Amino acid sequence: MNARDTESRVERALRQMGTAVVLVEEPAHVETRRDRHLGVLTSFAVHTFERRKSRRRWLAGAAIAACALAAAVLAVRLNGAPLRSDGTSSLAAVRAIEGTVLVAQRDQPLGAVARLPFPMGMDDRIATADGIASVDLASGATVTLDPRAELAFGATTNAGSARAEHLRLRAGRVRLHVPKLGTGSLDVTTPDACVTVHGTTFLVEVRKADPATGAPAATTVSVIEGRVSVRSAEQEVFIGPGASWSSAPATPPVVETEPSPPASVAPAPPGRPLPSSTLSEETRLFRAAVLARKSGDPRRAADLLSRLLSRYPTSPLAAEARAERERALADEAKSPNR
Amino acid sequence: MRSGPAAILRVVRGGARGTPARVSDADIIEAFAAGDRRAATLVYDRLVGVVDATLFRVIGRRESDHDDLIQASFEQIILTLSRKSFAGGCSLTGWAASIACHVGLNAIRSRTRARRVFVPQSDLSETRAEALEAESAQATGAFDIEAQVEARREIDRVRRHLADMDPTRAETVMLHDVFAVSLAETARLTGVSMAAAQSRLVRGRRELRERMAATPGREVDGEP
Repeated sequence: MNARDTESRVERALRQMGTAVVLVEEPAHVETRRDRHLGVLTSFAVHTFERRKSRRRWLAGAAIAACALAAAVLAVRLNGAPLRSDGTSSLAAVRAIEGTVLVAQRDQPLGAVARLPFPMGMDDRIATADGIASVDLASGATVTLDPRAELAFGATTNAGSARAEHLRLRAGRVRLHVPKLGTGSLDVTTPDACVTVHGTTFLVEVRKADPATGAPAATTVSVIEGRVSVRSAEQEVFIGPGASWSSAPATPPVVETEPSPPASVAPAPPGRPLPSSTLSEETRLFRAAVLARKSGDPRRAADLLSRLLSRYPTSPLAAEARAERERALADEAKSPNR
Repeated sequence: MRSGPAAILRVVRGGARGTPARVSDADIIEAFAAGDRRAATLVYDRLVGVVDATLFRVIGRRESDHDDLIQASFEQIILTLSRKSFAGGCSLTGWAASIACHVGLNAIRSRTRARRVFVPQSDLSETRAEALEAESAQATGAFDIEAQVEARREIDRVRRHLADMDPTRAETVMLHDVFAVSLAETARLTGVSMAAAQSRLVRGRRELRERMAATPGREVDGEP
């Protein structure tokens, strides 16, 4: 039997199936079957309707539960940290301290840190007498307080998905390392300036007025990485890597010999010169060393860092400078030109 | 002698019980969406004819479980309409026919599996009746009856091969080649694209021809 024959047989059979006469059934049987089927099918339909209703109720309940869970997760995420002992949410936590460090909740008097991590909330303060402290913020930023610094935590504000953290530096020097915050921001307010950042490493110092010399209070900002904006006296300036800014008047302007700031970054404006702070020089040396090591000159990097450490042994950059010098020396040891 | 136009006679379904109002597809779908208790009655009265005829043609006869197959088809129809998962895009009757076709092929498949274990009494009597028919035809010289019996056997073999094939291909062949549903409608009823339906049709026809060519002529019932 060939393929064509088989094909015609199949076609014929299929056609006959489709055109087969459907025999008429006995009307009595049809009626009986209808009654029986409708009894079963009606209850089946009602049962499915009931199941559909209960499923809808279950879905609504599940949706409400999911919304409640999402709201709870969102609330925890927005608050950023676990609750404090008084039940309010914390904005930051003191992770490490060395020496005498005091903390205060709102208007309470300052007291010793009872345990670590120590949660900090809105309007709480931390003050380092002769010690240093490291504080983690909810956004992931890290604040290191030098001795004799005092910092207060402002309320965290949320505008849509953007989250803004606010710190108030009352005295002393803090070093901040801020990860990329996306749409969020962090600002440090001093008595005469406000520094806003979106992801960088920088230092802020508040120098109190000195009645003996007549020097007024001043704020100094020095940027190590990234870019920050400083708003003071109704002016806003942007500071890039290696640059510094100060609110103190009548001191020589900063000279940035190495490295040059990017073209888009404005150096400290001429009308706002640096005070007699060593911070900018410390930053300049540190940054020059980092660039030297990255450009393949570990010997020069080690020299610069040694100079930084010998001139400014109490610099807030000292710890990082030592680590960087170790890396530079290791690079030099591995260098084939040695 | 009376003159004028001849009287036109027409068949009235339901006779003295009165003609039920015509219910549209949209009315039935709406009744299911609203959870109306009369929905099952509406859909049954509307579709029982097409479900019964489809099952008859797919299986070839009304067997003892015919009423159960009708009920199974309607349960599937009611379930789909209750869940509001009837996609639309085709008529309820065409969709009901495709469900009945599916149920019918499943029934043939399960019977074929059962026959591999035992031969039901109904099949034995049927085979015997066919043999008597053939003997009678030979005795009277009515060879067309023998041809009819052979044709009936051929159709049964096609049915069983279809039941053994991949269900998606078999249903596509059934809808298109047996029930003369257009390719576009077949695609909608089986929930696939036109290209996929075309592919299933071509592959299904080829597989069916190969199976038929591999088992030519008469064979033992239940073992295609």
